[in-house]
Amino acid sequence: MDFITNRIKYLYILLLLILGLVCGLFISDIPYLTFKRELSLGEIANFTLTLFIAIYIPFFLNKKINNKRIEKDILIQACDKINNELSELQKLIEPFYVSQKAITKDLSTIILLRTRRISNMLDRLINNTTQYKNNKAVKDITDTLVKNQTSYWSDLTLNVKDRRSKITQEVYLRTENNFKEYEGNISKLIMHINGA
Amino acid sequence: MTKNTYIQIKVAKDFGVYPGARYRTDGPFSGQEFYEDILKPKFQKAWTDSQKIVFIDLDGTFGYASSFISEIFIRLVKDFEDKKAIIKKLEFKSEDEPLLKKSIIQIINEA
Repeated sequence: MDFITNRIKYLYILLLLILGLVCGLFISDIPYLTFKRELSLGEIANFTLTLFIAIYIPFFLNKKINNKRIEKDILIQACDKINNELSELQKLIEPFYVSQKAITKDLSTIILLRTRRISNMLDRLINNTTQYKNNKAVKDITDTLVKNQTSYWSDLTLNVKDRRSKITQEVYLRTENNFKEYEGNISKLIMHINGA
Repeated sequence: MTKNTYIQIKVAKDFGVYPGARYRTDGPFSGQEFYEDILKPKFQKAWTDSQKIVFIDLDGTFGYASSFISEIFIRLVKDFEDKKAIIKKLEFKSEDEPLLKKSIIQIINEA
């Protein structure tokens, strides 16, 4: 596929060159237009610069900008996935807080596995932001996010393995606050990645 | 230069794949049980031998409740006091959840 795309690109350049020559020949026959036979250094420099810009912008600069945008979009998607996973986990525990039913062994295992999944999603996200390691704001937010993860895991799973454990109001409110803080810092990270 | 020797603990194999809650009274496979029966005796050996390090493999379980982890490492700090020396004596393997190592270090530092 790349081979065909490259072929088309070169064919396009060749076509433009031929078109330019044909136009040149056509224009040279028009009596009102005259051409000087000598060129100044300034004109050569001007022509070279124009040619360089004409090639650099579409072929290199746009590609560079597109690649950076794709990288940013992937990181932002990873941030959104963490936020979604956090929301899902909150939705999972809400009925147990409202009904004050005891947490089953299965539910406690699901909570542990899901907090672990969020932790691993955050770990991957941090590893993928290494290109921003010189950006102090990104570094500060990722450090805070690790603390948010520890607090979230710590408060949510503090009693899940206890006998007849329940999602008490205290646990729910603490978890909800951690969730909001976590989510807020993820949003801050999205903004910094987008602006970087 | 002398080489360190490792005292290994693999939680999933030596203890169980469903680590439990904080105290023995909360049920089986508690943090208290792990600390008193497995970690403390091995850590004691490492504590008195400058070449020994306790290597804890945390992989292969269905996840850890914070009560389990905090009971182990808060008790470790309570019994051995010197946090920096404790951290030096411990090494972890946690490929299932790499950030867990950071959480444990945070728990030790804040104990």
